[in-house]
Amino acid sequence: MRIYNCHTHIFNFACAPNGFLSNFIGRVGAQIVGRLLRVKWLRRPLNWLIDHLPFTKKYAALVQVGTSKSMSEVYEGLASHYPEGTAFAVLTLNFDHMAAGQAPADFNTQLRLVQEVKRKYPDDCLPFLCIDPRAASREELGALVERTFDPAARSGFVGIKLYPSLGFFPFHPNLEKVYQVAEARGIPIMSHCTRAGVYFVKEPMDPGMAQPVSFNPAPPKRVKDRHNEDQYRYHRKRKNADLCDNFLDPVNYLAVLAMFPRLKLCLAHYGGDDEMRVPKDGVHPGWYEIIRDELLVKDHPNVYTDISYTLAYDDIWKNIQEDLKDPELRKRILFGTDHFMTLKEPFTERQLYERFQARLGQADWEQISNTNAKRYLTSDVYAAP
Amino acid sequence: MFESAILDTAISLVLIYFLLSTLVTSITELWNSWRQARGRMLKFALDEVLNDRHNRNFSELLYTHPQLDLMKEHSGKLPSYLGASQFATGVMDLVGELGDEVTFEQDQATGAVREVMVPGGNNAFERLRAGMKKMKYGDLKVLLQSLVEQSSAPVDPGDLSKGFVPSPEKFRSALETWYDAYMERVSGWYKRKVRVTVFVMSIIVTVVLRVDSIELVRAVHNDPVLRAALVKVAEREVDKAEEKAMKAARANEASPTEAVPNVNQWDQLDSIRAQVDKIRALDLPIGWRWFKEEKAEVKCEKINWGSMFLGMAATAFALTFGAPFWFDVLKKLVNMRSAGKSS
Repeated sequence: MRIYNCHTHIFNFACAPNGFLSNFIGRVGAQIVGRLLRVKWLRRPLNWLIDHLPFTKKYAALVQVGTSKSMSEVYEGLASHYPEGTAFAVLTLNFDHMAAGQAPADFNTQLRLVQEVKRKYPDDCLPFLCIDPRAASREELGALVERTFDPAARSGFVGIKLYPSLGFFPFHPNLEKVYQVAEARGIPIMSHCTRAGVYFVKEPMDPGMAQPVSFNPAPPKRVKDRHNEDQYRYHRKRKNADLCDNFLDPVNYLAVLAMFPRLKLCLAHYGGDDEMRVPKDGVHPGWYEIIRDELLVKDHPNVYTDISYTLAYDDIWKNIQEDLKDPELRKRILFGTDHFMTLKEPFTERQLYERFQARLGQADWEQISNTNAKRYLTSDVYAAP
Repeated sequence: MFESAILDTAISLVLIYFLLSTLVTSITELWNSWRQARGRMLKFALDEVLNDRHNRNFSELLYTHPQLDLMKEHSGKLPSYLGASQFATGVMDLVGELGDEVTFEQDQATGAVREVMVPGGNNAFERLRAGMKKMKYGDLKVLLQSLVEQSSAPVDPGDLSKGFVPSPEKFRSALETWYDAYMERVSGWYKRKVRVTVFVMSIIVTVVLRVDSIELVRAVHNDPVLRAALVKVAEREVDKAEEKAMKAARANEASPTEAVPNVNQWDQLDSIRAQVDKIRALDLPIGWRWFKEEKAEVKCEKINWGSMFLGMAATAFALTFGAPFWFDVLKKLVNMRSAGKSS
C-alpha cells in the first residue's frame, strides 16, 4: 500500500523572509533571529544557542533544517523516514505579500527550486502551486491556473495551496476564476486552517484588507452573521495575529462552496489541536466543529480535512478516531504531517506517523493515508496510482 | 651621524609599528575568515547582478548550481571564489532553463511519472537565447542583450542590411570579460571594506595593548639599552620578515576574483599568538599593567590623559598603514643606518 502524505513543506529559510519566524518567536525576535541566521558564520553559534536555551530548544530542529539544508536535502530527509514509494504533497508558499521583507529566494525562485526536486523525484514529489490573490489580477490568476493545470501542459503541479492568514480572505474576488478552473478539473486545493502558523506581519493592518469583500454577491446567511460578529470588527489596535484568524475562519468557505459546491478543498489541520481541546458549550462551535459539522457534509462532497501537525498531540487522537467511525467523515480525513514544521515536536517524522498509525490500526490508517488521499489527489492532471 | 639616537629611536618606533601592524593583519585575516568576508562579498556582488526581481533570483539559483554548490566545503560555507568561466557557464545554464520545456508525463497504466525535457536549443547559447526571449524586461536581460549585440557580426560585411549574427564563442568571451571587469570593481569594494576592518582592529589592538606612541618615543629615546635592543631586533626582522609580511598582506587583501590558499583558522590563531609573544619579549613600555605599575612608582606625577589619548590615536592611525608599509620604512631606515656605518 502506497502512503500519501498530503501535507508537507520543503522550502528552506532562503525562501522565507525574516518575519516568517514571527509567529514562533515574536515579531522583534523574528526580525533579529531572521537577520542573524542570514549571516552564515553566525549560524552555527546561533543554532547551538537555540539548541541549548530552554525557551528556544523547541525550535532547534526547525531552524537547523531551515537554515542549513537545500530544498532537495529537506525533501530527501523527509522521504528517508518513509517506505520507498511514499508520495508527498509538497506545498509551496508565497511569502512575497506578507509584508515581512524580501526573502533571498522569491516565490518564482522557490518554484524553480521545487521543480528541481520534482525532476529528481517525478513519481513521489507532488507539488502544489501556492496562489496569493494579491500577486496578480483576477484574469491573470485565472490564466495562470488554466495554463498550469491544463492536462496537455503536464506542468507537474497536482494541486493549489492557499494560505489565507498571509493576508486575504478565501473568497477574495481575484480567486473566483481559480476556483472555477479547480472545480471544473477536479484540482485539489489545500488551505491552511488553524490559528497556528505564519500571518501578515505589517501592523496596523490596512483596514481595507480586513474587510470581507467577496466574489460571492449573496453569501449564505451563516457567513453574513459571522461577519457581523465582534471579532470581525476592525480596530487598528487589534493584533494581526487576531485579525488574520478571520482570514482562516472555516465559515468563510461556506461562501466559496455556495458558488463552487463540487470544489475539491482540504481544510488543513482539522482546525487545529487547540480548537479540538476547547470545551464545548453547544452554542458556539469551534473551528473543529464547524469543519466537522458544517463543511464535511454531504452537500460538499469534495471537502476534506487533514490531520497534519494535529497528529503530534496524542490527547486529541480520540477525536480523530471517533470521527473515523462516522461513515461520511471517514471518507474525508487525510493523512499529512506538516513536515518540517513538526520538527518543533520531540519526535522524528517516522515516530510521528508510526505512533499515530499504531493507534489507528491498519484499516483506518489505509483509509486516510491511501484511499482518501488518492481520491483527493486525483484530477484531470494527475491520477494517484 | 647615522648612529644617532634619533635614527635609532625612529627605527625602534617603526619596528614596533611593524610588529603591531602584522598583529593587526593577522587578527583581521582571522576575523575575515570567520565572517567569510570574501564569500559574503562575492554573494553580495552576484546578488547585485543576478537577483532579477522581474524573473528569478538567479544568484540564489547559482549557489545551488553544481558549478558553485560542489565548491562549498559544507552547506553553511560560502565559496570565496568564482572564476569567469564558471560564472558564464552557470548564467547561461540558468537563463537557458527558462527556454527549456520541462513536462511530466504520467503512464496511464502504471501511474508512473517521468520527466520529459525539451531543451530550448541545441547548445548552451541557443538555450540562453530561448531563455532570454521568455525573460521579462529587467537589468539582467538588458545586460545579456547588450552582450549578444556586442558579439554579433554582419552576415555580409559588404552589406549591413543583411543583418547580424551573434557568435556563441564571442558572447561567452564577452560575458567573461564583463564579469572580470565587474569583479575588478568588486575587488575595490572589498579592499575598502578590509581597510575599515583594519582601522577598527588597529584601534582595538592599540587600546587593548595600550600603545601610547608619545610615551614610547620618550621611553626609547631615554633608554639606550632598550633602543639598542630594538635596533638589533629590527635588523634581524628585516632579514627574515620580508617574505612573510608580504604573504600575509596579500592573503588579506585578495579579492573574490583571486583564488587564495585556504588558511586554517588555527594556524592564524597560532600566528597571532607568536606575534603577541614576540611583542611581549621586547619588554616594551606598553600595556595597562605596565601603566599601572609605572604610575604607582611615580605617584607624584600627574597622569596626562590628553597626551595618552593623542599618543594612542597616533598609534592607531599609524597601524592602519599596514605591515607592508611599515616594513618598507623599516627596511629603508635600517639600510640607511648600515650605509652610514659602513661609510
